[in-house]
Amino acid sequence: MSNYGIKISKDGYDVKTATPDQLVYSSKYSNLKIFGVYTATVTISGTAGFTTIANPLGYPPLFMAYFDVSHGSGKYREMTSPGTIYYDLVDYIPAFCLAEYNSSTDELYFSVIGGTDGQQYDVKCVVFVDKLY
Amino acid sequence: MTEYYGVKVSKDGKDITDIDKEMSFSSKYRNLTVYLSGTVDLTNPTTTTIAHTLGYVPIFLVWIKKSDNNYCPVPNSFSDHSVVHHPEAYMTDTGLYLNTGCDTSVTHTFKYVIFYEKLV
Repeated sequence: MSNYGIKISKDGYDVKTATPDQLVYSSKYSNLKIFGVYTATVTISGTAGFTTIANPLGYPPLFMAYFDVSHGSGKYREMTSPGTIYYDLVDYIPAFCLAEYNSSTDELYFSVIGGTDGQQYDVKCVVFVDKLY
Repeated sequence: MTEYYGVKVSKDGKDITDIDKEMSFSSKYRNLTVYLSGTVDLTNPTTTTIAHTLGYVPIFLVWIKKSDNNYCPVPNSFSDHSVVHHPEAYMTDTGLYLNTGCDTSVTHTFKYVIFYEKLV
């Protein structure tokens, strides 16, 4: 698609000459489409815990995962790895979190290593329609 | 399009009647729409909160610029200036909380993007 399609420029930019980052939308480029936001809970048993969400799509999805620093806290962190849980500079809990797509089980997998026995963390996973690979 | 009415744009080379993942855009699904983005410099040890008025916890992304001028996502753990940093970022229904996560007096640049789409 080189000469036809849909383009919308940002305020103040000419749509005929705008570069991609000066556009609000261009049909030339794919948008990340949100399929849904899924919820799960990790419960620490001993020193670790994990949970899974079944892949709602028939292919590996792009996703972003977040979890709350403490069950019901309303404070959500992205599940980057290594992600040390460090809450408010006061309640420092040396733990690591992980979010990954498991191609063997076709599941989204979330784990926390460390933390306090019995501690729960709510996971929010944004699943996109777009393929991971 | 048999199950709903709306707008679809297929990816280059794909048929518009193909399945959803072959679409560049579909009005059936929400796209990530930027509400607010910016940068903020924080000098250890300090915190700041980027306020928002969305009234719910939105989807967001944060990166931190290290002394080597490379960016990494936050939260994270890395060694910089011979000191281990644990930069922190979390979102509530009123704002984005940023923390340098280190006691060494060094200034770091945070880059953040807050979307309209609801996480909670």
